[in-house]
Amino acid sequence: MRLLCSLCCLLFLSLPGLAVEVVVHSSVSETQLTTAQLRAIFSMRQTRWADGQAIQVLVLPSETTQHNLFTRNYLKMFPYQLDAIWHRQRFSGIGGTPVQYATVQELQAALERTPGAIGYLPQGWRSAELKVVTLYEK
Amino acid sequence: MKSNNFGAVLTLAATLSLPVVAAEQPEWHGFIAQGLAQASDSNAINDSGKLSAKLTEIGINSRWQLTERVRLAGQVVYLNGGNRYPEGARLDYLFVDLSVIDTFDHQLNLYAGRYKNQHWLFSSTRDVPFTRPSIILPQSVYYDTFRDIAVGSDGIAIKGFLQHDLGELEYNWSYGATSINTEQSQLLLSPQVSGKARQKYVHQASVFWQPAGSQATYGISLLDSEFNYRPGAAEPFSYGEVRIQRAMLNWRYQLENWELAAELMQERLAIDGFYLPGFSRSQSGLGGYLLAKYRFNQGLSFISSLDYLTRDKDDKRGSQLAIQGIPAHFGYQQSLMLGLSYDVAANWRLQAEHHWVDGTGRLSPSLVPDLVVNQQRYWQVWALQLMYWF
Repeated sequence: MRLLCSLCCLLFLSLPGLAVEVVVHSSVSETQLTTAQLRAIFSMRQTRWADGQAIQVLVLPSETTQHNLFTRNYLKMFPYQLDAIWHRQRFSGIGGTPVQYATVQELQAALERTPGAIGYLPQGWRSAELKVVTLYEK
Repeated sequence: MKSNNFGAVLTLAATLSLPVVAAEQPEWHGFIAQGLAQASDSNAINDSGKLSAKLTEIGINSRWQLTERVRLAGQVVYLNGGNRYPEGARLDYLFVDLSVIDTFDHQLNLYAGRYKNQHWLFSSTRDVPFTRPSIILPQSVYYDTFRDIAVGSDGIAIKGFLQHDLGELEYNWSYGATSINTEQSQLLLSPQVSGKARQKYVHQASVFWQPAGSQATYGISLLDSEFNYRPGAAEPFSYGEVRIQRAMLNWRYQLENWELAAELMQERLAIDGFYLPGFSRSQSGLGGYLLAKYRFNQGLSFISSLDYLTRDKDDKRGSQLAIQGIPAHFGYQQSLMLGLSYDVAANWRLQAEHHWVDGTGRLSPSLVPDLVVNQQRYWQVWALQLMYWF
């Protein structure tokens, strides 16, 4: 049963337009990050890339399929956990919140024009101005 | 509003932050919430036990990026919670945030000014209606009478995160004090006091650990604080000193639909003087809660908590209080809460809850109990609140 569920999940994630990949603006030199590092970035705790450039976190609304896939597969979190972290930071003054875009098209355009940006897009939406980030474990 | 040492700390912090470069656009956020509440047979909301609309919370905050590593953040709130805390506006926090370490595996920030308490699971967001799990939090840990003292203090604090292959470590430390006005003194001590209560210091530290791949977080937090009281002319109380020390274990477990949280604490309360010159007493209380939340689809959540507190672990049911002429139910407080919340639209939430309570150990005032209104051992409180945030 567990194998069947895993296969279904893999099939679901491999469907065009349903799987997402993490992308950064071409000005960012990092193309490999760990889950912990992605969590620090999307939790808005880490605010600078290794070269000192400011990190700009861009996302879709929490209820979208792409955001859901991203938080589960890359951050190993549920969307409500990330929302709670952002709310805590926003209302206790200790951190910023990401810039949110309503559609994938708007998000892609913002990622392409924002130096230091990081976000996610459906697989196959990458462009020359963006680099794909792969996950690695130390 | 709180004021002690605040200006000096903020000036020092501002000096540290120089030189200031062109600031980025400040972020603005806020919330407004209005509700109804009723607590029969107790002074939890008001002395009459009648339906009350004193459940108003309004807040606005902002955060400015001053330089690459320095930010300024502040929040002002207006509260009207009946007897739960003094009505009016207050500066919740206003601090300079200095980013000391900002690397891939370690982030450390220093806060100077009026910082927020980051040491308990809900301490940093208890004042924001939609970020706390219930309208009235478990009183064993989040005693409303101490709300203004526990939310934040004037001083310095640090907060750090370490990301490791084995998991993530959050560490916090803070040292400061909160000034206490006459209205707060009367809630804490007795309506008869007219003198000046002062918090000398509050020193706190905490660590939280989330193992890699786990949805559980484990924490421990420690608190040490001293107060003194200088009586006014013609009042029945004497000069007194109070020391509170708290050790607490925190646990949180988050699944897709279920969320569980628990905090267990031991709190030592030592009083010298106050009631009479030469009076001395030290006692340790025990308390804690288990809180569960279940998320249904479409923004509907069910929430429940079990809360327990005894003010003296050597007299758990308060039987020794009779010697002082105080009913036993002032020695403890335990409760069951059931509630629902529903997200009626984006950034709008309606929340309702009912508490069944046994004991009056966490009603105000803290040191001189209200024997007139709080005569009933068993009492109930319900609350309904509509909240909006941006």
